Amino acid sequence: MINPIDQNPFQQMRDGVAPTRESWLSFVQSALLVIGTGFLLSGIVSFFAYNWDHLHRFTKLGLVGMLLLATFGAALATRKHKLAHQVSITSMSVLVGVFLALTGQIYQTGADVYLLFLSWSVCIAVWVFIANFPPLWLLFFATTLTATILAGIQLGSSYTDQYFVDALVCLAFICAFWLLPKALKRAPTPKWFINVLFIAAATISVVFCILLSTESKILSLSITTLLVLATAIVYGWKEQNLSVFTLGLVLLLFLVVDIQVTLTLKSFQELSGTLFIATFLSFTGLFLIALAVTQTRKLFSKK
Amino acid sequence: MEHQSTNPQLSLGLKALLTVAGLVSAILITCLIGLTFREELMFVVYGLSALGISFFMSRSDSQTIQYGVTHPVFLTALTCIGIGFGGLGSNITGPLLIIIGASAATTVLAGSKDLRQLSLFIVIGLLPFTGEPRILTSITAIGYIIAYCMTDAYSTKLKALPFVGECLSTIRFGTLLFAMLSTSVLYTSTHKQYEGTNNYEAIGIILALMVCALGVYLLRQHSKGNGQNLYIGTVLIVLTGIATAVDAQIALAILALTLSFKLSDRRGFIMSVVYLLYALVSFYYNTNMLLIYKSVSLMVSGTLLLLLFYYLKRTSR
Repeated sequence: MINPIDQNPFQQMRDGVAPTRESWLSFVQSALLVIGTGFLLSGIVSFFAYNWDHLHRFTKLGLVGMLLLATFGAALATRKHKLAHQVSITSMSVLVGVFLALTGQIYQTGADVYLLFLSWSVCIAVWVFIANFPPLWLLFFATTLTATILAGIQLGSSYTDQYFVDALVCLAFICAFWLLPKALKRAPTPKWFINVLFIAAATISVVFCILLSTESKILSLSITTLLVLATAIVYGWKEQNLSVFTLGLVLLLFLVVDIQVTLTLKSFQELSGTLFIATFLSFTGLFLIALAVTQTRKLFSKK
Repeated sequence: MEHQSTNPQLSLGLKALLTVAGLVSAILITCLIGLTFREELMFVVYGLSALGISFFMSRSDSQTIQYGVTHPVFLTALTCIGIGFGGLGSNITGPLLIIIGASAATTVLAGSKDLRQLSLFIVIGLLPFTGEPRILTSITAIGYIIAYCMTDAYSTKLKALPFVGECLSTIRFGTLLFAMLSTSVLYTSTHKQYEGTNNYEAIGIILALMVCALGVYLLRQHSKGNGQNLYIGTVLIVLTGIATAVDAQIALAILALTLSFKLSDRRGFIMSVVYLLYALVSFYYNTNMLLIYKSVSLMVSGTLLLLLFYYLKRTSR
C-alpha cells in the first residue's frame, strides 16, 4: 500500500470532490511535517538570535554544524519520500543562513549585510537545483533579491540604478523559470510560482515609481518599468496566462498615469486639473483593459 | 499552460484586480469632487446619481461594461454616499447603514450577477462595523464561521435556492474572509489594551470547542472502528483544542483550514494557510516572553509535531 504522505492531498481539491480517508491522512501528515519543521527552524533561528552568553562560541557553531549534519542525514534517509526529502533540504538551506549569521555575530567580521545574503545564495544554489522545490526556490529568490537591494543601498548607487538592477534580477529569474524548463525538456514551472515572481517585479516597479517619480528621473524609470510590463505581456500572451497578461496591462496603465501626474503636477493649484485627467485616464484605461482581457480570453479559449 | 474553462465568468483574481483598480478610480473621483465642490450635499447627489447609472448599466450582460465601467461607478457611488452622509451627520453608524442598505438593494435589484455578488460582498464586509463594536465584532467572527460551516452542511438545499445558489461561492469567500478580519481586529484592539479582552478570550474558547467538535466528527466518520486509534485520535484532538484556545486567531485558522479542506474550497484553503502563518507570527511576536523561552517553546512544539508525523507515518502504512 502507498504511504499517504506520498499521495497528493490536494488532488481531490482540484477535482472538487469530498476528501477520502487517505486524503485526510495525507493532509494531516503533510501539515504536521510542514508546521513541525517550520516551528523547529523558527525556534533554532530565535535561539541563535538571542545570542545566549552561557554558550561558548564553539558550542554554538558546533550545534549548528551538528544540526546541518542531522538534516543532511534526514535528506539522505528520506530520498524515497519526496516531500520529506525536499523539506529536509529546505531545512538544511535555512540552517546555512543561521550558520553564516552566527559566524558574523561571533567574529564581527565587519562585512556588509548584503554579503551575508549573497554568500547564503551562493552556498545553497546547488541544493536548490537538486531539490527543485518551489518554496526553496522562493527562499533562493528572496535571498538573492535581498542581497541585490542591500548591495544597492550599501554601495551607494543611485536609486534609478538600484531599481534597474532589482528589476533585472526579477526578470532574470522569470526568464530562467520560463525558458529553461523548455530548453531542458523538463516539467514546466508551477504557474503560481511564476505569478509570485511577476508580482514581486510589479511591486518593485510600483514602489520605485511612486517614490522616485520626478521630471528628471521619469525617463529612466519608465524604461525599466516598460521592460517589466513588456515581459509580463509577452509571457502572458505566449503562455496563455491571463493573470500575468492583465498584470502587464495594469502596470502599463499605472505607468501612463504616473507619467501624466509627474509631468502635469507642478503646484497645489494644479491638483484638481491633474486629478481630473488622471481619473479620465484611469477610467478609459480600465475600460480598454477589460475589453482587451475579455477578447484575449475568448482567443485563448479558441486555441 | 493556463487551464481555460468554458465558464464565461472572469477568474476571481481578475475580478479582484479590476475591482481594486475600480476602487482607485473611485478614490480619485471622490477627491476630485471634494476639491471642486467642497459641499457634502454634492457628494450625496453625485453618489445617488452614480448608483442609478451603475443600476442602468448593469442591465447589460457584457463583462466589458460590467468591469470596465459599472464596478468603478458603483464603488464611487458608495464612497460618495458614505462621505456625503458622514459630512451631514456626525455618527459613523448612520452612513454605514445607508451604504449597507444601498448595497443590499443592489444585491436584490441589480441585473448583472457580478454586481450582485460585489454588493453582497460589501454587505458581508461592512456589517461587523455597525453598532457596538466589540460585541458585534465578536458575534460576527463566530457567526460567519458558522455560516461557512452551514454552506457545507446544507449545500444541496442552498444551491437549489434561486438567489443564494448563484452566490454560494461569494458567501463562502466573504464569510471566511470577514470572520478572519473581525477576529484580527479584535486581537489588535485587545493587544493594544483597549476594551474587549474578555470577548477575545471567549471567542478563543468557542472556536477551540468547534475545532474539537469538528475533529471528533471527522474522526468518527473516517476511522475504521479501531478502538485504540479512536482513543488516541480523540486525545490528540482535545489537546489541539486546549492548545488553540490560547489564541482565537490560531483556533480560527486551524478551524478554517480543516473546513476548507473538507469543503474542497481551494480559495478558502489558501486564505487559511496565509492566515495561519499570520496568526502564528503575530502570537509569537506579541507574546510577552524572553526570546530564549519563545525559541525553546517553538523547538519543543516543533519536535512534538515531527514525532507525531513520524508516528502517523509508521502506523498508517
